[in-house]
Amino acid sequence: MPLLETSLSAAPIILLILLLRPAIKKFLPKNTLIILWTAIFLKLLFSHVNSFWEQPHGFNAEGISQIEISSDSTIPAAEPDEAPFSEQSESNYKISLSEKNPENKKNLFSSAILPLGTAITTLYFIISYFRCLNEFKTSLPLKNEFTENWLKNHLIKRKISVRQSDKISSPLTYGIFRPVILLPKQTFPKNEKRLNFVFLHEYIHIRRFDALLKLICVAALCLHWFNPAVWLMYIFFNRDIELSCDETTVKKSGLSEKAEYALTLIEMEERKSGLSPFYSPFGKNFSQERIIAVMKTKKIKFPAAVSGTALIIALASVFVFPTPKSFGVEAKAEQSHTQNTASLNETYSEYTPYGLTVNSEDGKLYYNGNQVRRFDDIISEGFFGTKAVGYYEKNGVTDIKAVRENNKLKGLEVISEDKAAKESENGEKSDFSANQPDLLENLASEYGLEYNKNEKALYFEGNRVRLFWDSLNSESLPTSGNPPFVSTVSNWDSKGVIDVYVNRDYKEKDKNGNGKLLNLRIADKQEFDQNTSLFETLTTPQETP
Amino acid sequence: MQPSKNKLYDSELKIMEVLWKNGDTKAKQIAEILSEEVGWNINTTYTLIKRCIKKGAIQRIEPNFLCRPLIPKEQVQQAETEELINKIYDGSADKLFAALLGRKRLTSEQIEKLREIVGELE
Repeated sequence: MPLLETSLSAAPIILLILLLRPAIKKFLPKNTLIILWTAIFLKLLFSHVNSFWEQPHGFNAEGISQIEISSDSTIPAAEPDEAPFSEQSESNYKISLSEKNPENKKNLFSSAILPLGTAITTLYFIISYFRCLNEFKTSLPLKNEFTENWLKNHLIKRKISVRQSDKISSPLTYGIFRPVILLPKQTFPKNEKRLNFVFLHEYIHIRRFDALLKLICVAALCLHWFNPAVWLMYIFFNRDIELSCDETTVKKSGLSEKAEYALTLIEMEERKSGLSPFYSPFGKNFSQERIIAVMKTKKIKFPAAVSGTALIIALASVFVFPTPKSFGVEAKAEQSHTQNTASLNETYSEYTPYGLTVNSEDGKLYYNGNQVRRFDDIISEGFFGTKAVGYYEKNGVTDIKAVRENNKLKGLEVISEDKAAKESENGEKSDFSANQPDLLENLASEYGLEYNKNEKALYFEGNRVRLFWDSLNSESLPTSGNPPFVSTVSNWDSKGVIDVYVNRDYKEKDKNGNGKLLNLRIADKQEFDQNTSLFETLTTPQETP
Repeated sequence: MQPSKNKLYDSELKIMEVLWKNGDTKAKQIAEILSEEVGWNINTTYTLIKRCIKKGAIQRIEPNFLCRPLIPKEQVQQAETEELINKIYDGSADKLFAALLGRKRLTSEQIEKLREIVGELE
């Protein structure tokens, strides 16, 4: 997915989480927020990386437009906002051929301004980071009985050291692999109990790799510097990481200690404030938010934990998981587009000899004088490159589908009312694939599966396939979520009885850069059951009794 | 007392301590001693030596980057530490960071307000 699109699609989710944030803070473990933010960062960082590397000329200073190769396109990939529903790669390819296209403004943004901004933001953060790090390095080791005992009682695999500096104002932690707890000079709290809180708080940051999370967050921010929603997320992520750490500290120390912990925070704040004459409403708000959050920490009850998990899964499946392509197709089918007739003409010129025309007045498709309601065509390009052309117009009366033989256009076929109704009915019921017969047939022929036309289902060795899963470029199973860099082809048919995986040798690449195709494998009982629970929650929540 | 811009931070005082103890010392030797003692790498030590030179606390004598202390130990006393707080280098990377993340200092009224909140919620 191109950078801009990822960024735009993230914005509503970020705003939604910000909207839900007060409720999440109140009722759910605060880790919920951290997990949600992290998922979004990873998505922001990695979702377009594939296409980024494959387009070395994308950032060419001569203003050559960006060529998007949506490498993660799986089965008929048509981007939701693209109209007509020809695949992304095709439309962008056209743009790249016509450099004088007035749309180049957009390309100037993505080829010059975008990377420039990223470079500046990245440079800024790198310089700040190393300036700080160099300053932290001048700190002095702190060795006393308390710290040594404390470290002995809180061992982790990484060696933690404690140092002290007169250049910082509040305790902090730096270093991911060799973490250092850095204390300000003479900022020792009144008593050991409070000092213990300070250490515990930093220790929890270390144990949870919060420093690494923050770096990931900054990386995503650098890439999406132009998106105000991402800046908002950055600010709130940094707050939530503290809130969540406070929560864990209080829980570890016992809930009865929360007032003492809050007072410790205030004491640190007070020592820090020293001689400052500045009034900072922003800082005040956060300190207040923190203190209130600490005082309101309570035991998380089981239902809250469950609903937290459910919320994570729900939000993640909307945004972070791969969009099942058929959802895209369905969504598109509901939109009615007004199109630029010229580009329509170009897209549909191939079909003109067979009677499909674009009306120059209303820009709609007509077939033998009747307005077209639905038009579909699937063209395979190489092993996985599949191009889909789709069209839907509410007021149309005829449904048309292109007929291809060995990928060559042979003609157009009118789909009868009955059949169309059946298809759309099936489409509504189905889950991952829209049961678009063309897509499945196409899939079947590419992988050597059998395709049953009547049931519109895939068969393998005589059994109806429920889940078909091909992880193209690196090993990944549905249960492993959606790790970065992985493209998959998948299909779900709830009436199927076996799950089929594609085995690939990822060390050897085929010409598309995917793992070398080895064979098909039927999932064992355990995997099948795991998939059952995974996909049923994802696809058919309303059908569970 | 020296003017406040010449105040030495703890890390810089550490360098001075080596010089006060050993007299004129080569930078390379200082680095070795402090690497052992406080775990600084060579770059960190050299950076600090340069800062001391800039502040007029150390004189650099060639050859061999020999360092000579220019300030006597007695002159640098703990009295200055209070003032150091003014020069706080906030841990949050930079001013923009600090502003964004709300890591600013609070006034005493604000602190009092926070205490009240704890009292109320307890």
